Amino acid sequence: MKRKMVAFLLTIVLCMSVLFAGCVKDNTRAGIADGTDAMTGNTETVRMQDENSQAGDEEPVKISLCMPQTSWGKSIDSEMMEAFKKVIEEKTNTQIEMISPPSSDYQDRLNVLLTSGEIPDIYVVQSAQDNIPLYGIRGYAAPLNEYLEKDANFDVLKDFDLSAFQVGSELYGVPNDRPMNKIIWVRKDAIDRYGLDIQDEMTTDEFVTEMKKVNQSEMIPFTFPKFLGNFQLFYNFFGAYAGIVQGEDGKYIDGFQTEEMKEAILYIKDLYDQGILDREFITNENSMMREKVFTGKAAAVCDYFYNYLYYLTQSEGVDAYTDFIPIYTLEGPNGHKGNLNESFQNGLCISAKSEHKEKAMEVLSWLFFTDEGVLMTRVGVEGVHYTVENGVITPSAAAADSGYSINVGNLTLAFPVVDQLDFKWGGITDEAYPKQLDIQKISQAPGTIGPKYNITLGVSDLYDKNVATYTSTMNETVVSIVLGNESMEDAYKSYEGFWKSIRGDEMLEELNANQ
Amino acid sequence: MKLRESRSRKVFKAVNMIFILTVCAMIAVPLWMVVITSLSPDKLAAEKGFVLIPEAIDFSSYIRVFKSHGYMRAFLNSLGITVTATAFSMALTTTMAYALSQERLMFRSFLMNAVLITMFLDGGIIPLYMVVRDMKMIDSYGALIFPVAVGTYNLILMRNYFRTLPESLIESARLDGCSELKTLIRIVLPISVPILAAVTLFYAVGHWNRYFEVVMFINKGEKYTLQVLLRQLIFQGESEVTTQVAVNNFKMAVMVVAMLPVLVLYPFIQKYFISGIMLGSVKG
Repeated sequence: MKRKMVAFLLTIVLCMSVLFAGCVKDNTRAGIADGTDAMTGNTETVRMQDENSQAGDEEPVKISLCMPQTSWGKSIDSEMMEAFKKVIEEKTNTQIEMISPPSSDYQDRLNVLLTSGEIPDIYVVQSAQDNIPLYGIRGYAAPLNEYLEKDANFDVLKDFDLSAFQVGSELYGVPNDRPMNKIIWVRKDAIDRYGLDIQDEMTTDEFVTEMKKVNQSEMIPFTFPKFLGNFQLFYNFFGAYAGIVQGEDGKYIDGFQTEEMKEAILYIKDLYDQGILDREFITNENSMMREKVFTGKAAAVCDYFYNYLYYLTQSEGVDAYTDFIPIYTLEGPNGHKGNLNESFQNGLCISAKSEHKEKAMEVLSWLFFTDEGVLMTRVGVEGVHYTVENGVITPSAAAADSGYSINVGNLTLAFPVVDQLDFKWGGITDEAYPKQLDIQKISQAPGTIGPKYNITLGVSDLYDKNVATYTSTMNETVVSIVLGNESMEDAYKSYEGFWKSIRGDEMLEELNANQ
Repeated sequence: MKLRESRSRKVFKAVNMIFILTVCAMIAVPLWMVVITSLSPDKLAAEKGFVLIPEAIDFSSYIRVFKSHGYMRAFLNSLGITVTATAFSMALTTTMAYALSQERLMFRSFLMNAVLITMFLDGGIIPLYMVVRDMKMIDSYGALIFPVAVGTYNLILMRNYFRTLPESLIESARLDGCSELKTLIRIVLPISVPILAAVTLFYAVGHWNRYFEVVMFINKGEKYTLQVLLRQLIFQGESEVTTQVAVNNFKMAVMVVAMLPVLVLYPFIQKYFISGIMLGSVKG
């Protein structure tokens, strides 16, 4: 019994010592490059270069960098993330403190960091247009105007409207991707099979006529994601906007209570009733929706412009290869057009409390606004995430096993246009890559891209307080009408009740008064 | 003599059986589909989705899981944290529950109320984060063990069980010269196996499934647990922006790997599980 007891206690002590070994914060770890079998000689080079740079004149500056886990080199493998970090350190002469919350809970973790006062020097912000001005007002983000003027890498931003990131004249963040928009994609084999007449631009009626030709027992004519904000695609064709917008006289109005909006909702309901719109759209995760399209279960989909290459390669992977034809916009009965403009999704901020703001901007600039940095953030580290064999890029075995895949479309979202590459993509991608770039240009051309309106926070207390419920109530109202749970009249009657409950008219007055 | 069952009794038993089978099916069918999908080849998993009857069996998803350094590391992290944290939790809970079960303990009522109050009032994540940060435990395994070491519910369960033990047993141990610790280890614990097994299982499952604390307190991927990795994998395919799709069979294989230890552990301590809970809940 005594021996058993001693053995038990020793086991506990052993477990505890293993634990405490892990508890010690290790800031001096050498990272992935040190003797990892899976890595190639290139990684060794990285390590050697790193040693050289560490031995340089300047002491590396310690910078904390908070990005979602998948942003650290498109792989969730910790060793690959460490390799990614090493390259940043080497290129910017910094010592990076990595904060990499899982993407799914990123914003929660960031909010805890900000609220507890432990603001990372550089941090990615999701739903940037809503959050960045708020962070500026609350003192979490530093104004970036003076830094942007100093660095030519940021000149590319001059072509974009960044007012959504501003409070007054101060700019509190920069986007890390180009604006995103969604268009309609149609499978070429469905076009051939059902004799569809698909044009770059077509009318809303023509779209219905063509989609009705798809045999619904064989294919879903048009699949759609569950995210109801995407219905703005249809609203655009009718000149409607789900939100607070300025009317013709420049005064703010509730875009949801217009005749145009009702017309647009009826159009969506018609698509649903006729079986054109995916009957299961309300439960469609993006992954599920995309799978329906690339496997050939659906003929058309509303998705990002940059997914052309994705659909080609995925459909090839499941033996359902076909070309994908974009419809850049539909045209409504009154001539209104415009695809779904989602504008900027993620942004980057520098901590207002950072002691190394200039260095932090330097890191941000290199990582997101240089060809070299962008290639690394979008494709990974050569020798770690991929190798180049016979001039063609190939994911390393370790990377492929950790969920990494080369997403070429994602590269086209970066601000620097990376068109000079030292490798080929291989397969169908090389041929299709120029077409992807063309699709981007056309889909984002003025007149083709839909509108995006923003109300700056801090202008109306009532708006700031109610904007979340306002958006969700609009979405609930639309879905209730489309699914046939309520008639248009009843649903709008309920909505009007809600509008009164949030003192909507007073909110508009506040907004108009403070324009 | 064999008693004949009344008709209403037979109907009741049949309805009961149907109900139980339905509940079992509601649990077993999704589990079965997860296992079958995890064993489907990539192409079939993408084309057919979730199926009840497999068209082909392929272990490549499992090979990918076990080959990948990331998954194995997360698995070992989860395992290490679960084993260590459970041992630590049990050591604290047992000693504290024993002390609180003794009438002679000074300020017993005050201490018990202090414990109870944590069940109803929660400071929230920000104060907890600040405490963990000030204890220098951010990005360390310690953050996943110490702040969550004692569960009030488990503590009360165990303390109530200890209070059901005959006082005379403990008194005679003392008369024989046993110290408090010796009494606990030599007398109390050997006759408390059911509650120890039940609470161990509670702690082990809780630590194994721990997610929120990992997300909040850990900075680097190398220290993430399997549950976080699993969520991350699923999210990869669902994100609005990313288009990396982890094929369903691979996701399901990770889920099976995540479930397996608990599924394996459960049958061995199930017999203690129910009795432990029942015994612990008798005396307040």
